[in-house]
Amino acid sequence: MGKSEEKRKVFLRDVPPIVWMLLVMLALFAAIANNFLSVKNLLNILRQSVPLMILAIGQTMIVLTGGTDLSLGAQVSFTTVVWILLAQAGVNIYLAAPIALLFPVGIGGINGILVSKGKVPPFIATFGMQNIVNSIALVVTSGSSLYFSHQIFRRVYESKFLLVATPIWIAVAVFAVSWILLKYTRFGTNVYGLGGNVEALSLAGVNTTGSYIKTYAFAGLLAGIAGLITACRVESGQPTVGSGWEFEAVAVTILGGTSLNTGKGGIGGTVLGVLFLNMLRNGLNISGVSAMYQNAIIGVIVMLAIVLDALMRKSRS
Amino acid sequence: MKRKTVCFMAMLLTASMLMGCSTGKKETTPEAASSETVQKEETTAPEEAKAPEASHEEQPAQSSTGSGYPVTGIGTQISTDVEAKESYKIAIIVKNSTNPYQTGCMNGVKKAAEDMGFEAITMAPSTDDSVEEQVKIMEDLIEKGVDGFVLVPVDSNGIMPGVRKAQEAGIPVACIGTPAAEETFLRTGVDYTETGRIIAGMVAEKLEGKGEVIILEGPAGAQNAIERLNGINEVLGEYPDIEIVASQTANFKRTEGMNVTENLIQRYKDVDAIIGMNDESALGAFQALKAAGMEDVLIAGFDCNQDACAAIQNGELFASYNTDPYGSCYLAATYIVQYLNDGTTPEKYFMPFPTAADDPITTIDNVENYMENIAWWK
Repeated sequence: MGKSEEKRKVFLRDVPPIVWMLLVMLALFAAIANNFLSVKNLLNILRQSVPLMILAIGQTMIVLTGGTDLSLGAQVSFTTVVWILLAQAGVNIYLAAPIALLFPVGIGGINGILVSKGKVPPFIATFGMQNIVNSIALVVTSGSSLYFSHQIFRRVYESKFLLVATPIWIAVAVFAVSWILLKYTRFGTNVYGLGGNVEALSLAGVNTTGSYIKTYAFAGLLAGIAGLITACRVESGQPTVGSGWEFEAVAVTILGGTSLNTGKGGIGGTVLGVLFLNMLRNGLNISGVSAMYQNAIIGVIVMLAIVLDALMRKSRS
Repeated sequence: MKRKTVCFMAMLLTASMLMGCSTGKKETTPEAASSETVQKEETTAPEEAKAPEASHEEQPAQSSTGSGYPVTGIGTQISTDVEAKESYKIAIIVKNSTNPYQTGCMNGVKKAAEDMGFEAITMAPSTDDSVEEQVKIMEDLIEKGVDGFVLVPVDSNGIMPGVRKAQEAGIPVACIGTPAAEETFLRTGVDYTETGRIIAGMVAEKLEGKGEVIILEGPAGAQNAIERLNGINEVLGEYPDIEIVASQTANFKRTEGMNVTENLIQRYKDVDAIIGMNDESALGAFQALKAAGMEDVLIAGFDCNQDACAAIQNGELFASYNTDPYGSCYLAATYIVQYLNDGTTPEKYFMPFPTAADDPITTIDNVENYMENIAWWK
């Protein structure tokens, strides 16, 4: 009997702090906001979270390598713009989607080259890239949104499969693929290795340049997928729609317990971090909290959550 | 030690995430705001129009009782006899919480809530001018269960998913300034063509029907700018002795208005009037003319914003058209309350406000009164 209790204690200790915080918040909003806990609203939150979730999975991988990619938000905007531009130019919209994905993959690849070959700190390299990509998106659209009328947008965004909206399934698929890549492939091992000890990795004969490029390109691919879903969501190409998302992606990555400098963590916590942030937004909206106060409240809570997470982890180790 | 660094970086990132998200798209004027929302194709065939919409066509276009608007006055003087029968929840969603025009919108609905007795919910995206977040807010509020939306959409097409969901839930949507791509319960705010016509008419009259005019246009492709320009050209075209010597874009910005004017007056030294298509570009034109010692040139603008009013008071600007976000949003809320009370729909889908009948022009003759009693930016 004593043994099983011990076991349970160990199990409870292994639960990441973000889970507790998520539960506390859920209870709080359920108590103060009508309709917050309705199934419809929870599915609503899940669906709203999809683009950021996919983006943040990519960001988490880059954080695991010891970097941050500040160009991911710009890549989202850029993908929406490229996709709609191609469609407007007469390319079949289904065919245009994979073509549009090539762009963020390429941008990610260049980021990877800059970081590995060029030895540019990731923060600087991707910040430069963010400005370049944003600028191109604004120039080709002259700053306005692009419109193309097609059913695919609603088909992707509004349709349901097994009672759950299609975007949520896409996020689940992206999560599954990324999780398997990280856990069971050489690529995944190398991602953790880059964040841990790059020199040991290259001494072991791993092509670190290739690993960097693959990681940034994969994050680009995910940013592209997030972009396609976002385009479906707003039924148009929006040259600035993703601005700021890269920071949200970093914040939820940290919230989820991935460390910025030791190559530890994983995408599971990140997903919970995304849900935490979006539930907070949704709860504030549903409670009717005015726009003026929302940012401050979110800022304070996210900061507290991150500090709390760090403290809880520290007390355990 | 490491933990501390992590915490610190996390805080930094959070802070920047919350403050520095928007790209350089900060608006400087109400017009610049709507300029970002170009409507490329307004001719999308609506697949379906549900809920309260679509009933406008059957209604007579003209009301038999006067103006037909359920409000009197404009700006902060606006009032109504309508009273909410229940404490409805009406949400106003603007583009951002930093631009005075947007703040005017929120204040208009708050005042309407006080006057009519409903609950106002004021919302704005946390990232300025994010249409995606506007849709998110709409979805959340539909789940919460609101009774009506007053919207200042960032983008006509981008807002449609939210608008459609509201309509499916039977919630009336009123758009201010930029309309949604498909017809909703109501569109209000100024009729941009009319604003152009009226200001151009005043300038032409002041010039006694002859002279050289420069026009400072809005951003290329912006629907509201095109409409306003059409109105100006239409009226000036009726005066055979008025010549439009130049018509160039100043992008609704003060600095660009100044640069463009500086260049143009090198060539057109005898220009008699400059029409800035918003106050900011008009104020820029004044700075350029002042530097060149050409202060007798007539300048007109649109919006009646705070700086323009001061300039009118000093005799620097001749006239401006009050685009009144405060009153427009108040009016939109009034229509929604009427509809919720007894199903009354507006006479038409587009009920322009303020119109010529509302005395929307501010000149030196009435600027004191405007600033004292009406101004939407106070």
